[in-house]
Amino acid sequence: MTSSALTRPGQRERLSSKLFEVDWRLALLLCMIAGVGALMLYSIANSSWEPWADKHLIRFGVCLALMLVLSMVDLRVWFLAAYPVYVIGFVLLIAVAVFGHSALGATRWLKLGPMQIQPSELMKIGVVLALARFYHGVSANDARLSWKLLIPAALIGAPVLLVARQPDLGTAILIALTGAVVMFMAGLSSRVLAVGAIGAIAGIPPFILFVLKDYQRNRILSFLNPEADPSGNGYHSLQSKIALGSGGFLGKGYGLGSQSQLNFLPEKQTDFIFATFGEEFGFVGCFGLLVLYAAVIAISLRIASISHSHFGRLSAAGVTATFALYILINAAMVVGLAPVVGVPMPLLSYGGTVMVTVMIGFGLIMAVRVHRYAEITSGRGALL
Amino acid sequence: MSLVHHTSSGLWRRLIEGVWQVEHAFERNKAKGRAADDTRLRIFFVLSLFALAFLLLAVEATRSALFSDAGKGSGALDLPPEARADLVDRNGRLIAVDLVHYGLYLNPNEIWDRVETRRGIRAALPRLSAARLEKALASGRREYLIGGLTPQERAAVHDLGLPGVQFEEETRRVYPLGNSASHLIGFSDTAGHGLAGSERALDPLIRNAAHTGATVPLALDLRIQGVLEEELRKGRAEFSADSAVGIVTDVRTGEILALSSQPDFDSAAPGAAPQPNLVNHAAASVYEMGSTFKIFTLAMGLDSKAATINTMFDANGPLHMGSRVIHDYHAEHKAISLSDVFILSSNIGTARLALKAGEANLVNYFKRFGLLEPAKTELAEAARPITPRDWNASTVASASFGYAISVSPLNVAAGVGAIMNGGVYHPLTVLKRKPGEKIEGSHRVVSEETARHMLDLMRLNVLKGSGGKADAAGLRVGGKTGSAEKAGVGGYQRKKLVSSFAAVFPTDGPVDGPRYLVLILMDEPKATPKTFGFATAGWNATPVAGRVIDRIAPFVGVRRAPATPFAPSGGDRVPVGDDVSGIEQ
Repeated sequence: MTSSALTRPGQRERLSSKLFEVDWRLALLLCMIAGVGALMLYSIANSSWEPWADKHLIRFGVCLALMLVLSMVDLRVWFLAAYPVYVIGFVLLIAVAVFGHSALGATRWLKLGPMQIQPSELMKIGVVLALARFYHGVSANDARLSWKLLIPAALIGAPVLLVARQPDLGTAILIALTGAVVMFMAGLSSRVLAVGAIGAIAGIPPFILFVLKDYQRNRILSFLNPEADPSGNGYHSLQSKIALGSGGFLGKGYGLGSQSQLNFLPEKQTDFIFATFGEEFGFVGCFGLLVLYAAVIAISLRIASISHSHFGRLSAAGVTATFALYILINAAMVVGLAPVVGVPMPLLSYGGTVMVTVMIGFGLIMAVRVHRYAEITSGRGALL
Repeated sequence: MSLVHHTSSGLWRRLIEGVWQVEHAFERNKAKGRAADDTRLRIFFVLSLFALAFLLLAVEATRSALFSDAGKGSGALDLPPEARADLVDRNGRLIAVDLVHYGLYLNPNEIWDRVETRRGIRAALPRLSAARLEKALASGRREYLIGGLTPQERAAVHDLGLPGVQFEEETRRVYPLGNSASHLIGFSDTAGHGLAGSERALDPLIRNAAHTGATVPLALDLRIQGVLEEELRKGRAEFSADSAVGIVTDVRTGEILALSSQPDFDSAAPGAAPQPNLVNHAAASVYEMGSTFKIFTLAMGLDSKAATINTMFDANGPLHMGSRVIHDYHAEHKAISLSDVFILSSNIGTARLALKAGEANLVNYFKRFGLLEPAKTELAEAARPITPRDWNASTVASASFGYAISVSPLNVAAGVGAIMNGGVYHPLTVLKRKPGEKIEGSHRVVSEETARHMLDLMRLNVLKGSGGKADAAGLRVGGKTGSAEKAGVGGYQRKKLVSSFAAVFPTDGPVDGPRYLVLILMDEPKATPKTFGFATAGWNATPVAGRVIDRIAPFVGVRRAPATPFAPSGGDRVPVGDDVSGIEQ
């Protein structure tokens, strides 16, 4: 599948060559996961395409096309767009804070005509791009430990604070962790990382006590002891465990999950779809799904590591980290290893914004693969 | 990693070395100035971390899916949290069972035709209140309308084909016996919590048994329960008693074979019964028992060697206790033997015996008989006796013939049962005991010799004393009556009695042989023309007990013996020693 590194001049820029370079295995895996998502959404709507499954598939189709288009975009264009995307995202985040649209007690949405967008989602890509762009022009020693690291720290910290204020703890954690992973991959001294990790752990109790909102604090407390309040704060967690547990080895069968079919499981079509899946397809189904996700991550990180440009490596790895963290946090929440934070299962859960974010991310990863031999010179004029 | 102490264990050291090696690999790449290789290595490191996290998830998902108790199994053991095991009687007959019913839900948003929906549901479910239906129709969301639909009711509603009408399975506890044994069985709420009777007393056991699919066998024998209830109901009606209590126990095991408290209620609908009907008088009410208590006092006197069966007591004239005077109902005006004290139910003699034995003995023995604390049984309803604040000559004398101390009928059944069981006390139980089971909390309360004497005295009292009307033919019944005046405003009330009869059969055979206790108690029975104006126990509680014994003997396997040497001369014997104990101030 991979063509030789030795090609005629201009050959790589031809669209036909580029399409050939797209990682079709990865695309196939993504289609499979989205297909499973549609299957589940069909099941929990009492075997009906409406209201979720049809939209899910349509969105995925549009996003798949978007991903392919983005994968054709030259990596140098991505490179140039990195900071602007970050700045736009940041401005939108501030706009949300100032005149955002509130729903369910949180201000996360911006109304742009008929569309509602969630700038925090855009920011997930924006932060990765900006960090990759930054590290591209930084020496290995500076990336390891120097005062310059205050810049990426600020690049991560500012949006994280804004998102956490909305409040959207799940996304904030996701952006922060992704940022940390990118900084590490860029060469951050593991000592700094260790100190940072210890500091973060030490900061958790005061954070829980003084910064979190009541509902967030309750979720954490109920994670530690869900049985204390089985019909209140512990409800999500317990019902999800019951759903998983009742699935057993092979599951109850497609369309037969009582927890989810009978509405015991809240957010069954979004954040807790993995539990629904577990109930109907059991251990075997869960395991299979996790294998699909793991394959996507492995392939994506492989793409990152074969890129010739530092920007390509870091951006692809960063996006992969975001994707992996989505899965890990969501699955950990569903099986009860993490408190309930609103992080969906990418491509499986119903929800447009997340799908767009994830597929833009895979567009970037594909672009890195397609343009893996591209050299990007630091500084201006790289493209022309 | 300066954070690590030198005292770290080997495992820690190896871990640290591993981290150092990775760090060194990073450093090597740095030194070679190959940032790309460094980043690749780090990407691989991140990949490994993710792989580790996935592994952890897989392990936890495996645990959740396969080894967790939450929603265990795939179908077969899919029990709702409110599940309770079936209750059966000692012969395996079904008493209480969980059955699937249906909850009816209404989602007004999906309803097309409100008029048709209202009409259809009302017609199919007449028991649904109109107000409830209107409220659900007016609400903007899916609401629970009514629960406990039988499959037939569900079908009737379902067949209407109305949109917006939905069903969900729910577990309902069904008590097919209705009012029968309702106080003993009790009931539970829809969430599966036992609230009364055995359902409450055995709650953890019943809930656990549900998960193993086992049934919970009660000591109850439905045949005996049926007889007891029928006779008690007839007796209560005949004598217009306010309430009545019947208890049948196996004295060798402490098993409660039957228990009835009238009036009763339907276990399936306890809320529909008047509040007083819910009171289990056998356990939750305490009474001054009157002369029935003489069983305890005489057992105490014999066992403590304060007297022998032939000791004579002066019953000549009332006994003066300070300002109080103790009379006998049938004054003999002479010295009488201990057995006559029992048979003639002499208050004076009993009080003299108690005073002779002393306060310490009386309290000690009453304690042994379990009369100073709630009856030892699983039933949570068992009431705490009301005992004298301090024991002195006056209270000892009163308590000796059943005044100044109030106990529940279960207290009496357990205490008398112990004396009739060769002197060994067993806590009462609503659970069927296994054959040969070692009984927790058993202890000897009197010697076998005392027990033997008490059996004889009980038998003699039926032959010659107030228990004559309980003498079921050939069953060697023994028993003691008690008719206590109820305390009211301004003293004891002569016309308001609590009549009780503690019977045991058969009285012959080995002292620890098979034996059954029947306790009948009536609260305020009224005199009738047939009883010649008497309302004392010999005329009401005693014949009820006799009829119960007569009918249940085949069920417990007691054979009728040919006429005994002490057989009564026949005819309608008027109880000679019928006893209302009186205290005059």
